[in-house]
Amino acid sequence: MGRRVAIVATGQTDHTSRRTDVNVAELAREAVDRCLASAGRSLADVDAIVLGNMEMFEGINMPDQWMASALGAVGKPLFKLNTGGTVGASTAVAATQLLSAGVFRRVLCVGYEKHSEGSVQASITTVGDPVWERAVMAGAIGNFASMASVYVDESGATEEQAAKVAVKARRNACRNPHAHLRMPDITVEQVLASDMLAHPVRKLDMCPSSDGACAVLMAGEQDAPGLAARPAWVHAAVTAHDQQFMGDSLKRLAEMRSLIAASGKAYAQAGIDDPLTDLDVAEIYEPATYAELAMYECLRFCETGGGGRLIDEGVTEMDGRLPVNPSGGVLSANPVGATALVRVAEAAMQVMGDAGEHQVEGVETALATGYGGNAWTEILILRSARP
Amino acid sequence: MTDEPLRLKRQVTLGYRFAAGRFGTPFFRALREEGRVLATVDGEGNVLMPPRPVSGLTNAPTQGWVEVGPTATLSGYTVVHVPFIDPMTGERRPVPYGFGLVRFEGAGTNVYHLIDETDPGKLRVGLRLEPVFKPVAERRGNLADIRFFRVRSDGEAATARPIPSPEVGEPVVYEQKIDLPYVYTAGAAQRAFLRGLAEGRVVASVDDDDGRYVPARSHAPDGRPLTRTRDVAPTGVLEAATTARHLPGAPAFGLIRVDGSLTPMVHRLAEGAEELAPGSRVEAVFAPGGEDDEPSILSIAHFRPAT
Repeated sequence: MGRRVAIVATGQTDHTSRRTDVNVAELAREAVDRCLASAGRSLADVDAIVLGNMEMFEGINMPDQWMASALGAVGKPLFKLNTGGTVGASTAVAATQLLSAGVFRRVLCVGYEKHSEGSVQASITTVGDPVWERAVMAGAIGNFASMASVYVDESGATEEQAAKVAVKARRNACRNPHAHLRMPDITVEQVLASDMLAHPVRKLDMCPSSDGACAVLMAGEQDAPGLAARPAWVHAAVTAHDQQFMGDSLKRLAEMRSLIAASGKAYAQAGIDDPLTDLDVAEIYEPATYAELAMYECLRFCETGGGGRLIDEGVTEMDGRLPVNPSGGVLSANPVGATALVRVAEAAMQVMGDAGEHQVEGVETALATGYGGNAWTEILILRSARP
Repeated sequence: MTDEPLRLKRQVTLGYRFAAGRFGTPFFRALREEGRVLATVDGEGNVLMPPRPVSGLTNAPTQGWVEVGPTATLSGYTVVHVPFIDPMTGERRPVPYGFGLVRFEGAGTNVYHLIDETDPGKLRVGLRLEPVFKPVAERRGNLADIRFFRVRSDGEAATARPIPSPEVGEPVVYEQKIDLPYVYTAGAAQRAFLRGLAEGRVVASVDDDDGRYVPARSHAPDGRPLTRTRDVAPTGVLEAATTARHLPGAPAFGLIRVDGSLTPMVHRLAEGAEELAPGSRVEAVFAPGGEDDEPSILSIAHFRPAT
């Protein structure tokens, strides 16, 4: 391993369905300003920027060119990534590698999406292989719903258990000022009565489309202690891809190869034997309720088939043994290019003690995941202790 | 001056020509001409459909071809109720429709496809299916040559049958149009600039040192926020010019530095203006209304030699 790396500051916009007052560059800058202000720093303190976004959602290719001034990137290295929904976390993994190698001292990660400007379901179809897949795709919802049916078939998870995930997320979001959907009075019955989007996924089972941005400042070990009172040190930053075609992984949701592979590697790197005991909080990228249940199993929070039991027993609630998504998660805000970086930021905030009303007591170790593309996974494990 | 949000509708239509490739070409020919489904096998015996040069399960080249199906099983399913715009047609796809992960018998992988059933109660994992092909004359050599899959109750389950590696033959190329609607939000400086143009004014952003930037923008090149604007004269200097002979009408474009601006802008030039020497003075010719009657950079029709 190279040099030790830490997250020293985070910033987010208040995610919402439509920001008509700003363009994408100004939206991203808002998160950057909040991030740097929280560390008492300015753009001059940033050596390089890693930017994440999915271009087809806004129809702007090379947005890095379009946003360079707003990001303070003129004359500096600015790396644009696109790894689908994972991209926000990919920026943090890439920044970790750049800092670990000693190439830079302070790197700013920025992720953004402005879904109100495009057609989410139609444009996401363009991630499909043009020759093999596009003619018969059904947007993200159809794909997730098909996968959910496989998970339900394998695990026996019920629609009530999935609905409990929706309730947990939207209630947690009430304590997060940045969340898009905050529903203090949401009930399981309300979720089950919401419109069927694609069987078995109902409207309240699915994440919203949001306008929003997130920024995270990371630094190498020589600078981190001077930039934050309690840095969130990176103990693992792992990425894994899956196969080429969407239909390749038979149990793509029930048995996410890349999530199992990446988390297994990250747990080994961070010395985690029993995630349920060793982690204090998790911020996972759950695009739909059924996905969260499946991910509990892939992340070894429970036995195979135990996802539904875990939510029934309240283990992942705010007052449970392992709170999952105190922020409200993706189900409560989903500006895709920012979403996985929000997971990283929220995990860091928990470690740094900066999570405000949704702070979990005494967090020493936090997990963040990114999920997207053709089932790509990113995993970060953050701790208050230095590696 | 009004500062209501300004949202600009823009349709992005792009044409592509995708090569099916050395594995897709024989696959689609067999599908179109014979209704046969081909796949590749890797060194561990995994049958991969679509056929491909490298196996994702071994990260090594595949080793041969097999024929699978065309009967199939249902690996996962949904009934889609939410309407969405099909980027292939630019139109809403009719709902509800059955959709799922389909595995051709003998294959180890699945493809997404349409299912001729909209009652989820009649669908389950493991259901046996058969493809319903379009008539040969209507087939185009893609997976939509299969209209959909329907439930099948009888008959033997197919297995993978080894076949000789097929000839690649004449390459298959797909022409595909992507047609997507966008609504771009203008930022504060862009709103001031575009609304100014619509009124025949050129608006610059101004920094703390009275440095001016045309077009108006939210941030200076060094990242400083620019919050002030002012009107400037619609005149400037042509820094460079070119004629886009590959575009219809061979329009001329120039790099124009509006007087006092630290930054130049690209805009159209009046006919013949591309012959002007760098350093020539030019002026804006306004065309109120602009593109689609929305405020637009084309509220300036072009720049012409200054009078």
